[in-house]
Amino acid sequence: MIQLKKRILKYIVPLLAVIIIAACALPKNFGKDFFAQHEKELQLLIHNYKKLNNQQPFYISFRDKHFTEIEFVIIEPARRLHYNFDIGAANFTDTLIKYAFNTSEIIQLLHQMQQVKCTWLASQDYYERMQKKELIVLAIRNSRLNRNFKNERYCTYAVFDDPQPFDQKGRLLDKEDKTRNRELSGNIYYKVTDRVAATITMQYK
Amino acid sequence: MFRLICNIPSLKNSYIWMLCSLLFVPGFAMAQRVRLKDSVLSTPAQTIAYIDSLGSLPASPHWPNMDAGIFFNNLKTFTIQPFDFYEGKSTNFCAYSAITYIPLRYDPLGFAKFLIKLYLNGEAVMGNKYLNPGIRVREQAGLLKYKGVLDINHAGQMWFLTLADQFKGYLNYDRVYQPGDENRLWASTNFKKFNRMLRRLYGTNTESVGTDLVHPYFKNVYTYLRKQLDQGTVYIYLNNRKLNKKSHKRALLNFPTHYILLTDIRLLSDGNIEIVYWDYGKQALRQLSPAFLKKIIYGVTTWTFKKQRQ
Repeated sequence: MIQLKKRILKYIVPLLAVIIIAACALPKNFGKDFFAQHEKELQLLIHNYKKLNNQQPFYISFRDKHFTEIEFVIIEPARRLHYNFDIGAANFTDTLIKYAFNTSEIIQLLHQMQQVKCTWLASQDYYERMQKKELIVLAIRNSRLNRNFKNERYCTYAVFDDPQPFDQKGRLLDKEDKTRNRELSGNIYYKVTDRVAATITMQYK
Repeated sequence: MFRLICNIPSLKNSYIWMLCSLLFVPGFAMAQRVRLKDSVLSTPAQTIAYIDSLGSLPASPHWPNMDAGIFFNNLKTFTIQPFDFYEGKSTNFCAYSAITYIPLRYDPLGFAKFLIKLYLNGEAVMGNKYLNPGIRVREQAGLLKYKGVLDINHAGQMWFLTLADQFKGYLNYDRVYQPGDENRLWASTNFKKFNRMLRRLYGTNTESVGTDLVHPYFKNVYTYLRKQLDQGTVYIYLNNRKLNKKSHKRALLNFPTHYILLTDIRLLSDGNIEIVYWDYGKQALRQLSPAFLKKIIYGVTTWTFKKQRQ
């Protein structure tokens, strides 16, 4: 009995600890790897969103894990209209028509989001040398980030129009003050390409 | 209204006129609420004329990192576009932003004069509250970055940091500001503190239901909010994690996290409720079921002008 206890302490407890730590650990370089694997789809998604967003500003998020319920937010100069829909519901297409969106292109965009498991796609403003600029943010939900024993995690990409500075560790820097990390929604982002940075977050927006 | 406003001759007259006019209305033996639309104490045009008359402002020794030119432009923007007032990304300034609607809407001139006084002297009085922010806060105003349009709103940074520094509750008991505290509990506001801020700053009547942890009881949430909205300015203290879903994880603990200013409410034909509220620098519209609305609301505060007993 004492020997069994010793064995448990010697082998099983460390083994369990390793399993738990491995299950909780986040995959290294997920942002870079995922972007490299799905670059075509992601670039197409960003391109299509930019085009549609320039016509009429909006953002989309998927409210559920099965990618069937969406929150569609129409951004007008003075207000934001938040609508929740099921994909394919008649009231969704009616709303798109009412606000003069290109219905088929928006639906195509949603399918592209579903393909790469993009939970949030939006345009955000940021300020550089007192000037307003825009960047695209998209959050990805992936099974590699959401294994057992882990909270929900998302890989959020920030896509800039122009090249950004990064430090030696690949952290996004402030263009005005290159000794300081530029934070987006309180998070530090890491280099994927010279215009794309990524981070792992617990919230998708 | 504000003690500050009462020191301004033109506004003092309008305030006295407002009170005197009530003497001639029969049936006002008891204290009653004044209709808000009749209670505007100054107009945007008066405010712009006043700001233009100043020409420019000198750099303030009390706020070393604030830019006088930016501050001056901010004062104009507040007046022209009051609904653009924005608490900044990922900060805990929502309560301070929400209460700023009152001076921007009802007395933009008084508010501009107050901000100029605070900027030039490093201290000022609003309502019953003497505001004298600490050195750490005064050094930080103008340096907040990566907060969206708040980056270029030095007047807003000064105002939010001052309120967070000068009003304390059990959530933000920490009195010493450290960089980054604007995103942490240091800047947060519990419901009691929120109501206290309204009363002390604007010196008028507040009526509130709810708590920090337990939902208030509504027999009919639409009827209640509609009635309150007809009486005054209505603030809702709610669980924003449910309203503005940001994760697919089901929260184990539910508690209120956000303050919004309700500007309109409608009952839809399908039984849902359409609310229009001011949040994050814009008016937002949502259609929610009554059950969901009840589930997310933890507190409702109604702010009204109040007539004196006669």
